[in-house]
Amino acid sequence: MSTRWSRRRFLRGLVGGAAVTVGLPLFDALFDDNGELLAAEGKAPARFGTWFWGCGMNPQRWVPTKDGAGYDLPPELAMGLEGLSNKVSVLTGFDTPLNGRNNFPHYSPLMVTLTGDSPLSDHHIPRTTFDQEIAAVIGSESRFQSLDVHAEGWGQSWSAAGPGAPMPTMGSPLKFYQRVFGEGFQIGGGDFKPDPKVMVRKSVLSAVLEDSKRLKKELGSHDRHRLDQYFTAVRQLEKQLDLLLTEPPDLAACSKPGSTSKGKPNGLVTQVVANHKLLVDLMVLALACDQTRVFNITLWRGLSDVRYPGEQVGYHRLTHDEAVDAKLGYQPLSQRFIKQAMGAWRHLLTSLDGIQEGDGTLLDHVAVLAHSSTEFPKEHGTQNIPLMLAGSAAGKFKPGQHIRGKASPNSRVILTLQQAMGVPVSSWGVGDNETSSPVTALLA
Amino acid sequence: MTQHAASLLFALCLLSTCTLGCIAEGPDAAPEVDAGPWMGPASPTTLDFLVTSMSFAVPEGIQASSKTVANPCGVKKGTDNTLYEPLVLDGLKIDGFDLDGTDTQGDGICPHTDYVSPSGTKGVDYGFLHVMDMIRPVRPGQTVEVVLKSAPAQGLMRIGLRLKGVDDLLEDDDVSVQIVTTAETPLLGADGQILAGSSVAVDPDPAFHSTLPGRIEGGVLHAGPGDVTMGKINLLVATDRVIAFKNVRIRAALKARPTGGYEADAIIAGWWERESMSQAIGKAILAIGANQGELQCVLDKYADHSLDGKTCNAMSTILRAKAVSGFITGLPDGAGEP
Amino acid sequence: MSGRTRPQRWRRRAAAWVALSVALGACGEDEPKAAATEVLPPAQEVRNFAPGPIAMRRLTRGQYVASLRGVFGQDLKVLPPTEVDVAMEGLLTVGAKVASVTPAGMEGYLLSARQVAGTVLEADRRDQVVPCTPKDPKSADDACAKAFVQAVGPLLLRRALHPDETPTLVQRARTATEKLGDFWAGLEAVLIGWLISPDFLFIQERSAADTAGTAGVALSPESLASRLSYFFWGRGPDAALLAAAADGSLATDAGYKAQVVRLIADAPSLERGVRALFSDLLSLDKLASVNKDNKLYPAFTAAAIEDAREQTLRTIVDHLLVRRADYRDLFTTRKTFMTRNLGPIYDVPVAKDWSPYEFPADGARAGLLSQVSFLALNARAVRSSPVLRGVFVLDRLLCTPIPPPPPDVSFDAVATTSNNAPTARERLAVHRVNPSCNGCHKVMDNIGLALENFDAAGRFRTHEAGHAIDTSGDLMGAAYGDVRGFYKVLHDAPNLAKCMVKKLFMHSVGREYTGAEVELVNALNADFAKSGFDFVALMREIALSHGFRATEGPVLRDDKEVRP
Repeated sequence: MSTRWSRRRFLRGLVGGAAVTVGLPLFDALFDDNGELLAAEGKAPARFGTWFWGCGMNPQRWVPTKDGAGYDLPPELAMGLEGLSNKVSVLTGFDTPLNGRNNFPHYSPLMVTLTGDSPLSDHHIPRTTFDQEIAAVIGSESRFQSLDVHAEGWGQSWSAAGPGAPMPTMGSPLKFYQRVFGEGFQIGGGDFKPDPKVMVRKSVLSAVLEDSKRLKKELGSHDRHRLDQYFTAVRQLEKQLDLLLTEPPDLAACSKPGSTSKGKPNGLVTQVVANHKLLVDLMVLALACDQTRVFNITLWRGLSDVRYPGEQVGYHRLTHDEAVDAKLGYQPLSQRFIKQAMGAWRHLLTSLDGIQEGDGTLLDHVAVLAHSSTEFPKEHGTQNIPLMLAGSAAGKFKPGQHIRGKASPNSRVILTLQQAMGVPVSSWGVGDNETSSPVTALLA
Repeated sequence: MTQHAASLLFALCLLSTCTLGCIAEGPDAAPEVDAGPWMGPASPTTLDFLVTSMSFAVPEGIQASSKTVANPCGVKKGTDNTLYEPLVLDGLKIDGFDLDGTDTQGDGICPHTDYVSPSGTKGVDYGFLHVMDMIRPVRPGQTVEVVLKSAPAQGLMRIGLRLKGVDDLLEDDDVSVQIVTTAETPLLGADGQILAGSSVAVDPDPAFHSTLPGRIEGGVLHAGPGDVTMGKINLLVATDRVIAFKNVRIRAALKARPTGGYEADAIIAGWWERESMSQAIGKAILAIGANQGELQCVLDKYADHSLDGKTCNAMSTILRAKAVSGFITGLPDGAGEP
Repeated sequence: MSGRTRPQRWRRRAAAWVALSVALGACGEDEPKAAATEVLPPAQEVRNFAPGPIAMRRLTRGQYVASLRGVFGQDLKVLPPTEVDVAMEGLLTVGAKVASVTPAGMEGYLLSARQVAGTVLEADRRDQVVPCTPKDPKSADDACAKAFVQAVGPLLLRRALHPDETPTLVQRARTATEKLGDFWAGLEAVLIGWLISPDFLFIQERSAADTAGTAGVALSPESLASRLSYFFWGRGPDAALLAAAADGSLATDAGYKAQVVRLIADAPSLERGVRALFSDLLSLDKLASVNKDNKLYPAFTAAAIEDAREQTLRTIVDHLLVRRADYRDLFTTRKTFMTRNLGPIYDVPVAKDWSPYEFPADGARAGLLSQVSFLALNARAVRSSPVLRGVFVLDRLLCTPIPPPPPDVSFDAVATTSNNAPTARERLAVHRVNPSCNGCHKVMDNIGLALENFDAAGRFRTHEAGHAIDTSGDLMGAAYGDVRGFYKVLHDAPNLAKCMVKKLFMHSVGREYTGAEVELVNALNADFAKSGFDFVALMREIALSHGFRATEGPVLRDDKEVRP
């Protein structure tokens, strides 16, 4: 169904005597005219990510007036997309209906976006988040099924493998570096010798899976799905070790970054944005080195306390407290945070676009959904939740458009993303969010 | 708006209704410590302070001479002392005390210059300024007052102050002031500064516990005269030194801090006897390329008190110190002991 | 404090509670008939309860670490797993019944397993766990591997090994040893396998085949052993408890009681269990990630945060376990312990770390709610939060969870007023006036406003931004003039003790209170009161109740689920 682009396939290609010379960087070879076999099946893999920023925007300074391609850039949108709008689609007028449930401000719309259902409490996870559905399909060939970072240093991601399985996340660039580029990171082109310790470790995992079959029989039906999640996780880990025992491809776009800083977030906006930059830079290299094909980045939460030095009111509170300046038509102090957020988004986009990969840039081979917790944050609304889709995921999407949802649920967008990325779903969402109608205009 | 004005506004905001308007104009840094008079509940009767910085006073506007000035104590051996930095002292305003009355010449008086304070007080004595000539440049680009600034936080200078019998922090005509050496370094806060409210144990050696009479006027503590001995002082390479002053006067402005507790900004002046000074800084000055000969020469020339025949045996010295409130434990008669 | 007069007072308070609950509608306690007048049987005799379903609980981070230390020594360094714990009813030990494993979390488990296995088998430690010496450290030694497997396996997996398990594991050790040329690497492989296996990561309950004599089905002796040890000690069963499960004595009343007595008598282990419970209930682990503005709260240092957590736990242990004092007095006691790091926040002199400290009788500090851990945790980085503090007290201490704001609520009202308000009371005034907010906010804001004498880092203050702070209010109809009055009113609130009963019961059985255990909880509550609110007695009564020992099944027979 989706384009396979596994290391193992590369190696098979090599062993099979394909028209590629050993020693030539494989990735470049992919896009060489003479590599017939590889050219036929190998394109840069499509990757997927999400980027979340809390507390939305000012609609009158953000929503383009023109629809379709060549849309205009109102000031706040311009802060993020100036010069990049041909690679990013902007989606406005999509809602997150709550199915009659209470609105847990900043959390309910987020959960509706991610799961297609509305939560029962301010920490309830209704269903598996859609990024993990995508990761289950495209994430199994890379070392990490998905990677998750949070620039505020929060311990928990929005992403979840199920209702009781919120994904861990990382806020420390140093820890993130160690996880991805520390032990177990392999770069192609050097001497390769599988580590017997890893072999033993892998055999331990296999044995644990084997032993646990008995448990599956012993346990009643009630907890079987959690045991299944456990097995899935162990199998993914097994694959990860498998990759360590396989010679890595020599990817031209991949380079191992030097170490990074600890960057303990302290709640200041400047510091969180700086932390975000460090994390993004590492994440982009993790993608270029094919360590993961699915990622989630959070800039800050909707209920974020992030603040300017010397000020006593954090962002979230400020969005409620600050009056709209009658002359300007927006909240001038809150506005500074939107500017920071759009600047951070821009940094992710330009970083992705700055990595050459065969016939395009990394941004062309990825699809990143940017989403927020509200529209105009002063009012905690659940309508017109801003969305942006950057990149074309190696030709799957048609970027550079402004698409209006006309008050349809944003589950339609999420359905579209899943289908394009190869998740076999024909409908998505629960209650008012249930839809089988993708946003076809997004597709290439 | 100037940075200073912005800080002031911000500080005022902390005390009054702080609204968004203030924040918009607020400086990047945290509020300056300028919170005005104390406004908490009833004053404590005992209040301890921990010194956060202490150095020899440096008059505002002091600068090294741009001209090559002959070293007045040029007892050089071989090479020039490149760190010697002749200071221009003429016309400087110096905040301090008139320790000896206004006379500068006469029978039994060591001839010396009297300075005028910024507020116009005449007769300010600061003979040690001539020693500063010699010791101020510690390392290229670093002056002695900068180097000493971090000494308390590093535990190199551990001085505490206890006010006893305080009925009112703004006006009180009779308080007692104890100056003690402490056995421990105060805690540092999350901002890297010595933390108000730290507890430190007192050094048990009674030689380093001095007591002065005092009073508080308009939130300013006046103490002295009396003798003060501070021990366990580390100055550059000289460890475990003693600084002993006679006829000490102290003036300290007391304020509430916006982040809790109180702070004091103090001027301490007294006579530093020749012997004591040589013992205290004689070794330290070696580290900056000067030597005992030069120190003795400067003392011969500028010591301004205790005339004994032809020699003057003490020098007026001014220290500037800052302190925050805290707790000194283990002092006999300690109110507020746990 | 005579026990006679208290029920009278209770009833008065309870009446106020009922009245308020009616007024609050959705906000009130769902079941206010607490201290009813009928005579309740002792909890041990209550058989009318609904035992929860059989559960599979993922170890919480705390249980994971404690379980390993229980087996390998309290000094063991453990890299904590990264998997995120899930809270239900304010307790991670309850959320554990739905907590699952993610791929990223599994990666963390493997890292922890490698670190622990490596440490445990280090040359200077291995004697503690390996009861033999291999003939040749470079080759396999089945006999020694077997001794290790049989000694450690049951303790980690909380059960006897299956007959075919030992040979399989010995073979696994041999294979790894032969591959790596190191006997210890073989044991390490076995150990890593255990530490990532579902038998270690999940507390798995089983029902006993014999179901007679109680409501529901009895838990299997091994399951009961785990339930007991995690309840009292916060870790897996020790060898003695497993032995009691294996030899059948745990299934007898006398044998069961003997184990309960033994678990309580081991003071250090009981202390660890009680610490784990309150860390969980008060979310003390979250303190480590609390950020405050460095410049506004310089005294809130990393060392102070660590001490604040420890201070609260020491206060609890001293009060509940050492002095066996009235649970409710935990919220009024002036006794605590102080450190140099905390001194600047409390603004008190401290001569020696962890010296006992008593707050002055006329001060604002008394009880857990005046401690830095609670105050700082339930506040923002730059200011205090009456709402967070109020919600926490209602939710965790009074079992009166606050429903979320209604879907149609307008936040505009709040937004427009706050700008020029001098203190939190004025800032939050709209909450308490606006009809769509005040039902709930009046209750929670009142609690939080009573604690406004403490800033975001927990320092005492009388003024906010130059304005005097008013801490008067009322809790469920009982008025107070200041924060000390609030502590007293909270102390006397009938739900304070009962909520502890509920939370402790939920923690002990690892599932939420559904209301079906109402009779059991009421009986436990009455027993608790009779004991003078002795916490240890409450733990004992819970463990001895039928509700603790039962499950609703199903029972597995021949691999088929059978409903009893």
